[in-house]
Amino acid sequence: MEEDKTIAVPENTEKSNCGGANHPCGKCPNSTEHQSNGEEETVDRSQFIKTAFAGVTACWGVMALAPVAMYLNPPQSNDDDKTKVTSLEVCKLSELPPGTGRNFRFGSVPALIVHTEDGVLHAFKAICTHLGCTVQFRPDKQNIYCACHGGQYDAHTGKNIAGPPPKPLSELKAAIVDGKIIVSRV
Amino acid sequence: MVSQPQSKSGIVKQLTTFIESRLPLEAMRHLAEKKLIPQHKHSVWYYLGGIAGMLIGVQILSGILLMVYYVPEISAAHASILKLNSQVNFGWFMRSLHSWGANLLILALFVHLFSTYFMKAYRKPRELTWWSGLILMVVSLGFGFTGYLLPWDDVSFFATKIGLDVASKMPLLGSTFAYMLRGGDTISQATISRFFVIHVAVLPALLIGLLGGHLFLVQVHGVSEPDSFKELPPEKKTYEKFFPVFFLKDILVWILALNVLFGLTVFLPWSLGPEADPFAAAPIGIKPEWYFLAPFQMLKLVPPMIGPIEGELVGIIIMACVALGFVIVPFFDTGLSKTKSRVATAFGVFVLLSLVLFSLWGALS
Repeated sequence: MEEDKTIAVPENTEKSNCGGANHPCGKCPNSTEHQSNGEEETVDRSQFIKTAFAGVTACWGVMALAPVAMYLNPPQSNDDDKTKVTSLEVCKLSELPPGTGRNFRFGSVPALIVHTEDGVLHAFKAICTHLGCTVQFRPDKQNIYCACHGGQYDAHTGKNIAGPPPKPLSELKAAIVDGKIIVSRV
Repeated sequence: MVSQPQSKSGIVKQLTTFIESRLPLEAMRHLAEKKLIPQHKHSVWYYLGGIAGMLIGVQILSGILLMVYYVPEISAAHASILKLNSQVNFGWFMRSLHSWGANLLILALFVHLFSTYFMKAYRKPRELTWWSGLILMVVSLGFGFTGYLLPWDDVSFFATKIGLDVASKMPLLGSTFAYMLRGGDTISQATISRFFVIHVAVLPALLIGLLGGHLFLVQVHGVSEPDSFKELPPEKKTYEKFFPVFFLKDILVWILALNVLFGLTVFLPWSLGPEADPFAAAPIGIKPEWYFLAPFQMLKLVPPMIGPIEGELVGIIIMACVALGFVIVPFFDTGLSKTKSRVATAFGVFVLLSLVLFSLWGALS
């Protein structure tokens, strides 16, 4: 800010020609720049308008973009606990001989039922723990295999035994009721 | 002036120098400085083109957003709009915004068309601007017609059916044209797919091309001045600078127009009728949207046969002649004959009044 607090008037200005603040001719410096009271800081009017304009534009920008962002956010599907699948019938036991497996749909997730050669049924969520591909039972290897990157899981326990998968498969409960295979949540 | 902190102006300066040494910014700034808007008692009409342009922007943005959730398949279309209205955040808002925006846009375009007509802006050297504007008007009505079918509710189905039947009555190519638009003999999935492609790809491409040309020509020729202004002595002609004065006033008018649009969207949200049933009877009192009411009402009035010719065909020919009048007016009213100028004005008044009267009649019957 200016050190000189008095209003500087250029030497050539005649006072009679001066129209005052309402008729600026450019010869007098802007009087708001020179304050007799040095403690009061003022803002130039045009600077205020510019700042206000930018501020309001920014606010309106946010007000316009926020609903668009909310709009683009996919509506959450109403996954009520009441409507989630808890158990279902896969097939008849006779349709799944020992040493075979079958993929099926369990609610909204892919699942796998395996009838191992020792006669026990095992059910898992068929989501590979590596990057989410759907796994399958390989009768030739007698284990669970992920075609995407070669991951392998033990068919009895679902434990990851080879390849990139970091964790075992998620388990489901398998039971036989009236000769039918029923799979339910653990 | 309050001094800026040094680092901010340093960065701005560096950026400006970077751009200026690669793009002709100085030349552009020089051109922008020279842009002037004549000030006279009809200057208010100069805002209309900008309002139409702004509404086009709103339609493009809201249309793209709607495309995220709309499904153009016959058994899913109506349901997707229901889902949009009830489950998507602000879905009801975007949909109503798009529907109201379409109506306000077409209204703004009619006002823009007639105001430029009465100010005789079609005269040399602006004939190309005028003709590109007429094609743009047809394109915009095409947007309205194709978009209207997409929600697949009962009104939109029958409005499209009637519209296509009218199109099929055009001489020579009418029935082929309607058949190709419909994608068959009846309105079906093929119609939805074709209308969707036309609405979101074909017409937007045409719009951007034509509008770009239209706006470029306006920059090249400057804003047209009515005769009463042109004939003034030079010292009496007042102009204001486009940048920043008129530009800021333009923005203000846009904000006011947006307020009207948002107000309508929020307080009068667009409704959705029951899903279309092609085998149901046409709803009693079915009418097209207001911007097609005038030709609709006119065609209702013509008798079935006029002599040996089908009545509807006569109606279409009359409407084609009116449209032709608008196309050839730059050749007819060149500004050299005061009589021809008055005839052109009278023709414009006649068409405008007919449109308004037929539209009102159609709305009230």
